[in-house]
Amino acid sequence: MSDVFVVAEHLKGNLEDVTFELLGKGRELADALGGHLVGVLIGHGVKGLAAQMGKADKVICCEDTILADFNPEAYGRTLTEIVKAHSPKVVLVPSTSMGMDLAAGLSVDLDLPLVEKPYSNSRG
Amino acid sequence: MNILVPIKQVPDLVEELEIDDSGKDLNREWLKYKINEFDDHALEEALQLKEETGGQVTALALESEGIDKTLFTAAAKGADKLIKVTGDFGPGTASHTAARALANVIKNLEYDLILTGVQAADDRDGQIAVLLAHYLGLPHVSVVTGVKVEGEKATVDKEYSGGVMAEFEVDLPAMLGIQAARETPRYAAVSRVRQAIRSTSLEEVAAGEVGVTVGSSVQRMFKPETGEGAQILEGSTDEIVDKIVNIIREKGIKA
Repeated sequence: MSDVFVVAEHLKGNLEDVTFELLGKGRELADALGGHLVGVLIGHGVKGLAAQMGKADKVICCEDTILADFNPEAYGRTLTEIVKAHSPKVVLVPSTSMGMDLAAGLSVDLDLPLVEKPYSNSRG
Repeated sequence: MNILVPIKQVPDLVEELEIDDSGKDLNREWLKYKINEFDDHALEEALQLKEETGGQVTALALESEGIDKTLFTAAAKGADKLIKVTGDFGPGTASHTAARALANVIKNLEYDLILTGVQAADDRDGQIAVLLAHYLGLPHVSVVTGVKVEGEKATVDKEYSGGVMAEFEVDLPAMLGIQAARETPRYAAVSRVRQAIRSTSLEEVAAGEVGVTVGSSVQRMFKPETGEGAQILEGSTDEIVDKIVNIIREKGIKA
């Protein structure tokens, strides 16, 4: 699997800017890897936001009332299951307050290497 | 209430940083270290909670050069117990390794809350707070600026961007990644630190088997490379906009 997953961040019904930054970078990575760019949208009543994530080839949306507000545990477990089910090559998580409560958990639960706050990268 | 505060030290930026001969690390020969600022906040918040509700604060750190002084400084500020986790933890130790080592020791301790700094300047692969929470199977909230404890629950404020805050209720025991304490971290006079060295015992506990941890390694360390300089655009708003559009077109950036 050479897919690149981008975890979308949203607050009060809007996608945060960082989501678009990650999609831009994700597009580059996915193209370089020859895989798909997949957006991941977790929340409640957020399906409409998927339409704004046009750079992605597809968006996985997981909705439930329990996911209405960001919650480290609920979002963390949901994301872990999604990543486990699809085995992407790279998962991009925003380096934000919400992202900080998600990325490390994903790394531990799925035994994946983690690098935080890169501002540029190149494939080796 | 029993609070654990894992702390680490980071290079003090009072001296200019140099890269060593290998090109993969800092030249540490003349480096001074000080407590990671966010861990200092975590310690302060722990001490404030102790002063409010009673209990005990334990500061823990992984073995590294000069760490004893950092731990004794925590005692001088009010930490009741000090634990140094022994093992091979040189600079550049991966966050996963550090978190596992701490988890090995912490799982044998009694505690209600673990407070640690949200991050450190030299963290490469993640933040200890959340890694540790997952190794210990604890609920966690990071980037916390306000903590209140009542019985078996803590109510915490988590900062989002744009000045938005969210209030969470967490069951204890829990891990909190501290962004800022309710007050500026207190200062410990050198005389108090000297007194702590004389009177506080520093317990050493071996990290034990940390196992093969998933991590990254530094391939190259370098100072920020300067760009080609900035161009100042002048003129009326319309003229400036035209110039910007031309620059964007010239650089081939697609809209």
